[in-house]
Amino acid sequence: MPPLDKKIKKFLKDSVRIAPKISSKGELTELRTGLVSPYPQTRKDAIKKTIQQMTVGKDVSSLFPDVLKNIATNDVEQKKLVYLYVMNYAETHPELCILAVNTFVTDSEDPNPLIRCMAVRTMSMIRVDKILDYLETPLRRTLQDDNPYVRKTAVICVAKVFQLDKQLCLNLGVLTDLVSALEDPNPVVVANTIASLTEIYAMDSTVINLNDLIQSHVSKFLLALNECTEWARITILTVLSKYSAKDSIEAQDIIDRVTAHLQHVNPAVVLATVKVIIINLDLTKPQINDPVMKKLSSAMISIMSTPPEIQFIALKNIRIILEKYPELLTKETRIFFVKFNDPLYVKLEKIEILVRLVDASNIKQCTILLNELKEYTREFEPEFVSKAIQALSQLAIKYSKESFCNKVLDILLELLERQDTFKDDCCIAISNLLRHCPTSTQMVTQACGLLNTWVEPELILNRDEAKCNYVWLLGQYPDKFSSLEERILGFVENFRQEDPLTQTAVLATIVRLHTRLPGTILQTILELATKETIVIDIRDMAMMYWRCLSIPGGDELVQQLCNTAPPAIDNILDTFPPEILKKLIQELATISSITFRPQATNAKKYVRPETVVKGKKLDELKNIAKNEIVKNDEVLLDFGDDATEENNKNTTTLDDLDDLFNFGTVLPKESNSGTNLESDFNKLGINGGRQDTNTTSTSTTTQDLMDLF
Amino acid sequence: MLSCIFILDENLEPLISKNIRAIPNFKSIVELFRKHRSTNTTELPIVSINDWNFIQIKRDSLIFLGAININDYMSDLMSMSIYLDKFYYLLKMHLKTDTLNRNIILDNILLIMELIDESIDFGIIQMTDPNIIKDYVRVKVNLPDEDISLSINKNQSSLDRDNERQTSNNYSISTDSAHYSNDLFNEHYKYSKYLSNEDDESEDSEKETEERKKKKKENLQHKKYIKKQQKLAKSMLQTITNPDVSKILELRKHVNILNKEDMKLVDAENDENYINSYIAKTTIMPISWRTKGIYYAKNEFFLDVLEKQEYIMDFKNDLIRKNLIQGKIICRCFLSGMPKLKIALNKLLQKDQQFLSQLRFHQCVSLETIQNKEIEFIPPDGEFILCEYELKRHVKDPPNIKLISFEIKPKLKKFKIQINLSITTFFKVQNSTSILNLKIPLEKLFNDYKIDLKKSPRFKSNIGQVKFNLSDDFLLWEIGSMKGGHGENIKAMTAEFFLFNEEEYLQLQEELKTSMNPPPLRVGPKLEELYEQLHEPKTLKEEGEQDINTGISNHKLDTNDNGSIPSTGTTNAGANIATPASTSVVKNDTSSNKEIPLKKALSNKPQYLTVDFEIPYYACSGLKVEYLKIEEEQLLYQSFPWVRYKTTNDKDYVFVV
Repeated sequence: MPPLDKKIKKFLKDSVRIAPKISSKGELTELRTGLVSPYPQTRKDAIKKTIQQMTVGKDVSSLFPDVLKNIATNDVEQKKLVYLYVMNYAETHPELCILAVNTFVTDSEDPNPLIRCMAVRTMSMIRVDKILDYLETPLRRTLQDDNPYVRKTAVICVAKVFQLDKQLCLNLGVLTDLVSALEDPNPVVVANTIASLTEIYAMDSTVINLNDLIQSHVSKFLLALNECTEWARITILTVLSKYSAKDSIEAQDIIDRVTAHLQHVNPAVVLATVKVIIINLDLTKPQINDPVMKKLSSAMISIMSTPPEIQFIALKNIRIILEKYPELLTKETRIFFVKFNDPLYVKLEKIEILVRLVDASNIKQCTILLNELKEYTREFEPEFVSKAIQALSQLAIKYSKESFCNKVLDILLELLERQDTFKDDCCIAISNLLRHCPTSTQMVTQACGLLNTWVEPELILNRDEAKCNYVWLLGQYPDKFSSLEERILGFVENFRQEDPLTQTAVLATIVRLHTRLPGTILQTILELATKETIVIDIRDMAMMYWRCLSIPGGDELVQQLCNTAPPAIDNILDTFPPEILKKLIQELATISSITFRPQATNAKKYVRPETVVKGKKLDELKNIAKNEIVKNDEVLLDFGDDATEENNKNTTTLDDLDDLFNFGTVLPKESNSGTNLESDFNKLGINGGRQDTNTTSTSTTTQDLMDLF
Repeated sequence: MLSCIFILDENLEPLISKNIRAIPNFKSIVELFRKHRSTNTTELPIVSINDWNFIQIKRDSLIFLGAININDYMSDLMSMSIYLDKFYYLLKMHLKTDTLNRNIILDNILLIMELIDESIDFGIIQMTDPNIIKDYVRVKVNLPDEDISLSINKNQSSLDRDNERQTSNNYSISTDSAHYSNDLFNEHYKYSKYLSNEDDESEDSEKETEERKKKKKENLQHKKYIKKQQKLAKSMLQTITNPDVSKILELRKHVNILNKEDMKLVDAENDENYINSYIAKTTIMPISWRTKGIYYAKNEFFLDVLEKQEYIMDFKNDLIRKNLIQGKIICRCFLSGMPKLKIALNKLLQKDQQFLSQLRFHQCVSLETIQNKEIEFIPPDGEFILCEYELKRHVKDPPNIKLISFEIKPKLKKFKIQINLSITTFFKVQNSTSILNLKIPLEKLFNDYKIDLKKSPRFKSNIGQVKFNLSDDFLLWEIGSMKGGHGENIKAMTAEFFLFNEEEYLQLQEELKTSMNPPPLRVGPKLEELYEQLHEPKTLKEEGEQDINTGISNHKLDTNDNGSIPSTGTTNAGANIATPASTSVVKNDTSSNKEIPLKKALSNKPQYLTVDFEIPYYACSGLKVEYLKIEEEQLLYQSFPWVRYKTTNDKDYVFVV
């Protein structure tokens, strides 16, 4: 509530107000009269109403000239509104934009820095060539502005212009201005400049040499770091992480300078700092009890007490970091214990971290985790429980003591008795355990005893992997199963529907057990595998077995083939190959840290399609072209033959456009403008030409693809 | 970097679409996302669809969606998602509401557009500090309530609606109000509802309440009840007349030091809308969080140490799974000029290593000074969190409120079942809790035994009162104030339910058949009918997902409601277990196959006994502010620092029973 006197003042002002009000119906005529009303209050109301209409999706573009008249005002709020309007409709009414250009240019010289800022910011966002053509002077001027606030906005505008029209940007030569802005005395300007440069570099890495710039300005960045906003800090830290220190002394210096930021309240700052430190740690080669490591671990924990979405990103990144420094968080397992109100995606990630985190030599910790995971298997969500089951087997194999595996097995068996929804996961986990301790007869008896109770396992189990494991167990421990033949027969009957893994397993198992099974089964399976399956590997395998069996003394050969003991597995946690890990560390906090797929920075230099600028989407272009033709038709009648020819040409272009449009290809942005007839024709002609080449090039690429296949 | 920002409602209808990087045809991007969501139910915060990576942050009923082009693979997802999160808080601060919803967003599109414009430029985040941005964005907030009479009507109707929902969905019977009619019950609810809403309403509500009180008084018949009402109303009036912080905030004035160049432009007419360019200086100064020229008549600084205890104990196995303290120091600063503050904490002086390693500071704190055992900073204006910390406690350290015994005692011969529990306190004797609620889960009990609700359950406790929530299957033991101690202050509670006695039931039926008398009239609400209504089996999936979450949200509301019934519109909550009668029906159904595993899973599901408490003037970690110095070199004013402590439970304060 505003203070009372202000309230009274406002009340009086409203009650003696002569300026007519605008009704909320928002009819165009009313708005139009409102927009040109002599009362400023009414005008402002009308603008507001107009924009409200605009945001709900009504077309108020016909008011463009009237709204534009209100752009010249000292009222910043009103100015903002008009800018908003212009930005929205400039693309659809490029002809009218020319009316606004002048105001933009004058505004960029306004004594009020806020208005200067707004003008240049808005101008550079409009995807219309007419506006951009006039941008040069304002942009140059604001880049050299006295006020750092204006400069910090202007440096971003360079990146905007670059995105819209690379060529223009290069022609203007503002990139050199941008580079020199790195020397700016104001830290925020420096931060925005480097952000802008990074953007440009991402769009086209040939125009600037970002890495050299970073190398030469590191001291500048380190100085600016402590003097700017949190967001600017993130930008600077990100850049620092791209810097490669010359020697361990410099690396240590960088680490010391940034370490304080590990205690920042903003998790993004923390993560960016972690990244800088980790990258530089390679050079300093710290001991494990280095204070930096301690700080890193507490920083990592601090980013865990955040909203779940952010936790998710944090967890993904922690997993990568853990791969590099596995002992970093060993003492902090409790932090990663699942809370019962965590969303599912966080729970799953936490389990992943937990099994990786745990110190395999610490029995107490392993037991605690074991109990924790056991609790998880009682939970509700099926994905979560199956992850927990998987984690149990991973933990057992990581700890690798037989007694421990036994405990895990007990838990799994108990779970199976209690519930029958997780047979798939348990089956996989159990056979993993058995493969880890192939010598333990007790475990085998226990596990197979339970698996033996399942009737029709081929129907109970759903997943390919689970079935495959089950069949493998049948083959490995045939004595432990009763009515072996029936079980295998069940799988044989379903052979056609099974996925490749199971098919392979069934084939191998039957061949392996062929002495115990009636010959018909062997015959059937070999026939099925050679004739019915589409997977070449299985067919080849079956062929090979068949041949082996049919040569004299083949039985022995087959026995030899089948009875080689599989190597005991000692790790079922997936790890990143060192190359990938190195890249992932460099790409912490980016999208690759979520997908775990590093972007091949060197291999794939993606060049953006010639961008936007004269900014027409294809359908818009089509409409405009049509309109032009309709308009032109009348004119052309007077012009005579020459022009009609042109017209024909134009229609063919249009056809091309239509084709392209229906074809659904990626929309190439083409140039168009709406006023000058002559130039329009030419341009459209060029367009047609260009688009033709486009179509051909796409068709050739498809051709290439086809050839590849 | 973010290319577009969208705000979607729960039906994925875009409310706000903002194109940050001039992406052509950007509305198709959100369509992409919607299509994806319609086929995919998982709510991963980050999804990649075609050429776009999306960050979705779910807050209240809205989804804040950011789209990043796939070619921007080096952009920092962490900062983007934190930006979206902060933007949500920014909106809340600007719109002055606690929860955002579709309508508020739609009413304030212009404001939100400007906020986006100011806070992010071409995907490069500029600022998110609400105190600073408020100087840039002057668009007025458009809140629904304007006229007094109108708002009364509106409130009335909305309350009525609430009541309807209330009566149909959510029943809870407290021991002493069990005999009141439903009407009275609703009146009570209305008042408590008011209490909880009181923050949002303007001073007008005072008038309203007067009116309402009169009206109510006429309607009320029950003496005891009137007393209760008056007490409530009184307390409400008190809270309204108390000076609240937001008003102080409003009353503060800016000393406008105008640049010469701007002077000529000042237009007296629209001084409310005129934006002084001077504000621009703040963002580019090293101290970006505080504007210059702030002035208060009275210089005050409030410092609250707020500690939340996280404690998870597996009561059955006597295993403590978690024992942590989450602490925050929240400050509210109403100081003029550029004051420099110095705070010394006892933990810093002692160089408590664990404490030091877990501290996280607001950006205003100069991190180098921490080594000097002092926290030195120039505070931002208004409310901010100075620091956050997390402390591990030893497993043996007892929690502030401890459950000592919990027992379910079936007395099958008497057809009764008893729940006995007792709690004790572990904190300074001088202190006492201001809020203390225990929520005792009954789900398992109802699942395992056939409870006969025809005979109303009995509750007994040495302190506070016990309420029975039918819809969500829990007992609420409201204690309120309980003295501190070191385990010697023990309070106990007993609840007794009747089991279904088949023999007696059959006998009764038999008697009824033969006797000529009409069946005896029953007084009081028919719990068993209500229970059945509420527990009709619903789609299984929904239950599994929402079960746990709603449990908690309910819980939170309980405490706010000042002792009324949990008021969440829980159409989906509860309903987990079908009553014995209805399950028998279900079993004949085709869906019986699904029902059985669910029941099985339920019986294995851990039962959480949650505790809500609040202990004022006490910090459980022992943290103390040794001194708090305020210095302003130029103005040299007198200032008033205020320090407070409070300990509450975290949402993870659970005994697994």
